[in-house]
Amino acid sequence: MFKRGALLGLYAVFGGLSMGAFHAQDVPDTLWLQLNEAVLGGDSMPALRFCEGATWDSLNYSFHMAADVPQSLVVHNGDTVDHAFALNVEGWEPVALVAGTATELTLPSLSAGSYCYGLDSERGKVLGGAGIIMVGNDDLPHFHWNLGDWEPARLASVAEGGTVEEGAPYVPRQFTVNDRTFPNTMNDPYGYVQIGVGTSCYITIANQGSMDHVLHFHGFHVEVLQASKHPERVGWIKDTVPFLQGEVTVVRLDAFQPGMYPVHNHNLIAVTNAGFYPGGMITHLDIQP
Amino acid sequence: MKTMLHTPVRMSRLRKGWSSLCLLTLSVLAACLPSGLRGQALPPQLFSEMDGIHFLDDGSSVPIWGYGWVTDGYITLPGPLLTYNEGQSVDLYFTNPSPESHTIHLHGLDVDQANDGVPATSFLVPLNGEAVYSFVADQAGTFLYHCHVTTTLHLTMGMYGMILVKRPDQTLFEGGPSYTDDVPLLFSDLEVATNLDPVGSFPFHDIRPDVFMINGKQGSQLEAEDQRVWAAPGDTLALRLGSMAYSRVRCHFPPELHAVCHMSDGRALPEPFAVDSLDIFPGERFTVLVAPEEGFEGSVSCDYWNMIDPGIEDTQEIHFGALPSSVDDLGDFDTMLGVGYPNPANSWYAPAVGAAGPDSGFQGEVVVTDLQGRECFRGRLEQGRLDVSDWPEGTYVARCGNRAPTRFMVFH
Repeated sequence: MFKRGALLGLYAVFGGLSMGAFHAQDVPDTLWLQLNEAVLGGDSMPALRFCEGATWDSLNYSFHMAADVPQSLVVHNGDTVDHAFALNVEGWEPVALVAGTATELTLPSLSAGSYCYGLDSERGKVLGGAGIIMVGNDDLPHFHWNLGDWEPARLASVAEGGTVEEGAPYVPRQFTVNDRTFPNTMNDPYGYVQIGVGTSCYITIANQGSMDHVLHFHGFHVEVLQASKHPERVGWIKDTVPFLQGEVTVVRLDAFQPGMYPVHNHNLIAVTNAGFYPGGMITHLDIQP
Repeated sequence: MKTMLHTPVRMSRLRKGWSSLCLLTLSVLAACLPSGLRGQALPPQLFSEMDGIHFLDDGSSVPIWGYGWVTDGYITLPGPLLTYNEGQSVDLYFTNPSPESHTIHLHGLDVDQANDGVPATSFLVPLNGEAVYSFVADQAGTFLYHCHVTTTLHLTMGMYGMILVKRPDQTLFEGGPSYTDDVPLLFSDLEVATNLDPVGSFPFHDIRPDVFMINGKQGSQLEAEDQRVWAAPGDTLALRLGSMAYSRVRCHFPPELHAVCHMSDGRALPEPFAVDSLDIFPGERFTVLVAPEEGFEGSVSCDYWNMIDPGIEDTQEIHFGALPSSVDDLGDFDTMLGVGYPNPANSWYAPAVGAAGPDSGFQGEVVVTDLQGRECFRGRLEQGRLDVSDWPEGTYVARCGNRAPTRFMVFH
């Protein structure tokens, strides 16, 4: 494709292309909630993350789970305060996670679709402990985009025990897909969509940020299969898809043409890293000939 | 065929004039253009500039960047409305005499990578560069275009416009409903401080719009007769709603409009639905058919919601006006500058509708040119009518003395 080589060269600077790992990670036995520092788009900030292991990972763990099968899960709360494990499933009651202890819980039997999990507190939400659970929908490659927005000063304040003052202006400086800012999104095996022309995939998008977002797909329309806060939009064919706070959406992409196509937030303040363009909430569809 | 309608308001019927053009977007004067841009031969060509001026409702002006037709010689906010026929193979010519590189991203048209307008994956059009964007407009619907260079800044500076892909049978899509007329309505916003000082606007993550527009107009500007949506009894109008705003726009439709949403993002919805309010996020488009009740004189209120800190920043109104049932009843209209009828025309066109209707039109010399500036007609008219029955299909500009020019289509 035109200038494709130059583009790939640019991307190679940031760690090269991800190949092969199309599906989400497997359901874990254990998740470790950890408080540490994350570096996003040049800003360092405190962050809570659900990690697969006891070692700090700045990326929340999102995973795939079989449909209609409950799953036991142990969650270690490594934060200094108590939390509660939240799941956006009707009837789910948050499960207490006492600081410094491990809690065993059971993820319920879930029908095919995508869900998000996280923490049922302002601290937990602001500091970003949240991931995606994809259930079923495994007949095609299934990618996911966990959307976030971050104001480092607010995170620092909350990490030190503060609260968000009601009405305080929100000025996010970083915008992420799977806890990465562009161009690091190009190195994301679960978010960088790489499939062959003539094939299809699912993409789960969860907005776990503190504001609404909207993504525009270059080169393609997608079919909306699930939209937890826009149920009337199921079945719509869209190139620009909005996501309210807390919304989980699943779309299907049919890759009819080859090439490299951006997908980005069309609230264009969100395609920046600390104000620098391009950055933030940009990823790509890499459709192989 | 490319169809270029300059003023992205109601495209046809009465009062589609340029009467307020000079008050709205005086930008680059033709005399300031490089000589190569004047008198440009075929084909019609967009150009970009970075020294336009846009007038706000309070009479102040802000600098804008934007697109315009080379033959017009000025840029507008929004850029020219581009209309194509479904299935048409399009070559969109573009030249950039401005000091920065620009592109055209064809938002929603699913063009291939080479024509996508993204600098890193497609190409830049540098100073004095020219380019052709080629694609097939294979889906009827409402689309957008905008510059994709430093998009956060170039978009808020004004580099965007709307694209309509239409069907000759005046249906929305194959098997879809028919309608009388298109009403392009492009929502956008800007932050005055950014437009006044684009370089100083860095960092871009805290751009906060404070001017909210529909087709580049706001407040009392939208009450002007050439900005109103006019409906005659029995009309079904296709509201082509699109957003290049940094805000979420919520439109409230009065029940007298009987609004039904049929399309989004250039695709038919599985089921059309009656709509009393509709959220339009940045980059989205919707096609809503309205059938105003006879004599309806009201408005669609459009709230601009802050995308970050929820709250309504502003409300703008799409004003509707009632047309009489036939052109014979036009006698009570004031004489307007730059009002022609009908548009599109297939047999005759009255380039300056008079107070007593089209047959009492302009008595002086009329000059008509095509979009390349070539003179097609010069002379006086019989009963104010111009016989276009054997004219080639296309878009023309009629000038009647000192009146503002009218742009019209001939379509057989």
